[in-house]
Amino acid sequence: MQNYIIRRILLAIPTLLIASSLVFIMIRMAPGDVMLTVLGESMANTPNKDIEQVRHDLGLDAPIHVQYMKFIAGVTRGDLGKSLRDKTPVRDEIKDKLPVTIELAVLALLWSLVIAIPVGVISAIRQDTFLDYLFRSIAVAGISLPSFWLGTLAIILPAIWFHKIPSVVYTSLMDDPFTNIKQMALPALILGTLLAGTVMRITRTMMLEVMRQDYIRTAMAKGLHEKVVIYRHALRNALIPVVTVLGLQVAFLIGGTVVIENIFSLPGMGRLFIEALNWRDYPVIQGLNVVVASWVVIVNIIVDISYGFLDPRIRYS
Amino acid sequence: MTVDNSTSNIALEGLVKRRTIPMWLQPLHTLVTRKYLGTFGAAVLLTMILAAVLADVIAPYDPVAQHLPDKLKSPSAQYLLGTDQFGRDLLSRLIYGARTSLYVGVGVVILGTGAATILGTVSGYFGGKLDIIFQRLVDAVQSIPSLVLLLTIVSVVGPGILNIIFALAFRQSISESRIVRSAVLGIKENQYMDAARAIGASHLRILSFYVLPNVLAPIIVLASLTLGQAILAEATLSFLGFGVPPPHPTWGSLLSDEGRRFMIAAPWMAFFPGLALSLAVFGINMFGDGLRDVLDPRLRGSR
Repeated sequence: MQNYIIRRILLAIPTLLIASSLVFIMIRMAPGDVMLTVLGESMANTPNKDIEQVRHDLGLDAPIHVQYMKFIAGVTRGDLGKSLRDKTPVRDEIKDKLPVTIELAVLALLWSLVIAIPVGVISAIRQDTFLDYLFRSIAVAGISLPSFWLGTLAIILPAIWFHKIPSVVYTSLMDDPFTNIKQMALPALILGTLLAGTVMRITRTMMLEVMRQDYIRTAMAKGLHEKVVIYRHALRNALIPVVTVLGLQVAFLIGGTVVIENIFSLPGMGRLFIEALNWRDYPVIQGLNVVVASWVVIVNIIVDISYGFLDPRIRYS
Repeated sequence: MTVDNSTSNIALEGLVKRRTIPMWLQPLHTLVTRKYLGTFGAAVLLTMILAAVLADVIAPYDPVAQHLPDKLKSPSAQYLLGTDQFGRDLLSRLIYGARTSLYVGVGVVILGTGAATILGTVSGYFGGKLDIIFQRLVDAVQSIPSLVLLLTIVSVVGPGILNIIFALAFRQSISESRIVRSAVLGIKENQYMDAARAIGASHLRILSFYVLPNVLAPIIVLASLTLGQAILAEATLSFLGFGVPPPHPTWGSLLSDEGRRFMIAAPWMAFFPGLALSLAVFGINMFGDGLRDVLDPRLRGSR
């Protein structure tokens, strides 16, 4: 088991390295002089000496491989540079916004599991009935609906019908849990519903596979109640691959938070990202990419290790 | 003794069914007669294509023309889906938006699926170090959420319809190459591959005659699902303001921030673009699902 864990973690390091390098390359792909984007229109009025000074401050005058080394060294240390806008370290800016995004993601994930797993199970045990087709269509609808449409409707419809607008001021979980949950409920609901479609389909497929197995037939033949067979035997085994899929969905979840936080004005990483994009604040954009990629890799490691715990076959292969 | 060689033996009549359509049309026939949702999806896609192609003919107004005295009018006989804050007809904007969405979508499908086929086939077929390195690359790219990746690229290289198509195609090709690769790996297991190599068939010949025809089915399904994803991704980018630049109307930008404050007074502005988008993506996904059900068991693809 330890071997498996160590191997899994070691596998992640080159992935993270390549991802960071990819981010590095992306940020420097700008056509033309980066200074133009950084300084904007005032560049024409700034004397060359000052332009070069800013370039030096940002470390952009060093040869590209030196820049790369400094970047990677920074990433491993946790130093992601300074924001172009207000000179605060990127790490601090992200640290403040991280809890909000994590809370949103976790709530959305929980909500999606609460809907998707029961629905997937029912869809599987009543395969090819009207209920199955209905649930499958709803699941596909869930993946097809644009997050920003649902979010926008969720804001304007209550405004039209009940004259209620969600508050713009964010209350953190520490300050006032009740208000916080009330505020996060709707965004989490929407994000979770979008995720639920995929989870439901995977659950259904896995359940169908498991239900065809011989040991299920034995359990039924022994006279066990259908419910017992499903919950005690089938579901436990079917859920294991579902856990793996959840790891893959983390990337989707984080992408979703960008849109949802934007619509509901939640002060999380997603909104920070949009602001940084609008300001062309490249250190922040770069830093967020790296942080988000790290999160996805870490969650996938955790998921794979827990997969090893849940399914003994994996450990010994 | 006379030998009766005619096939008009009455006893056999009900057993032998003659083909009425050529074999390559068989999947389409199954789709239409058995998979109703898939056919519905195909109909939606067809409608969208027609709207895009015939936009100039069927759109009642110019999508960028402003009729300021008629601004924020609710749906009526004159403006079938209402007008926005500048008096632009929503229906016409939706019809032209279909054109943009399809243009981007088809571009992404052709470039992305094409690249994915090449990458996945080479990686899966030749294997070895190349494959391992490529898989690490795919892992790394996939660990950055696609929206984050796309926004970063667009913010760096600048907006513009070609930039968006390339960025989307890049991201899609990476995820798709995984699926093509596993399909190719599945085919490599077959004995006829060993036989072909044994008689000295060149790699190119094996790839063209044995590998590609068998991965064709999963690729077709993949292409159709990618279309839906690409349209949704383009709309999301446009919504956030990083999509196709104005004045092209795209479904995503119709829902974006600048119109938002008017949406409480004029909810049709929010309702119809999103509905069009959802319906289109839903239809395309259904079509892809139906296609998969029809093609896969037949050709035993690797899904």
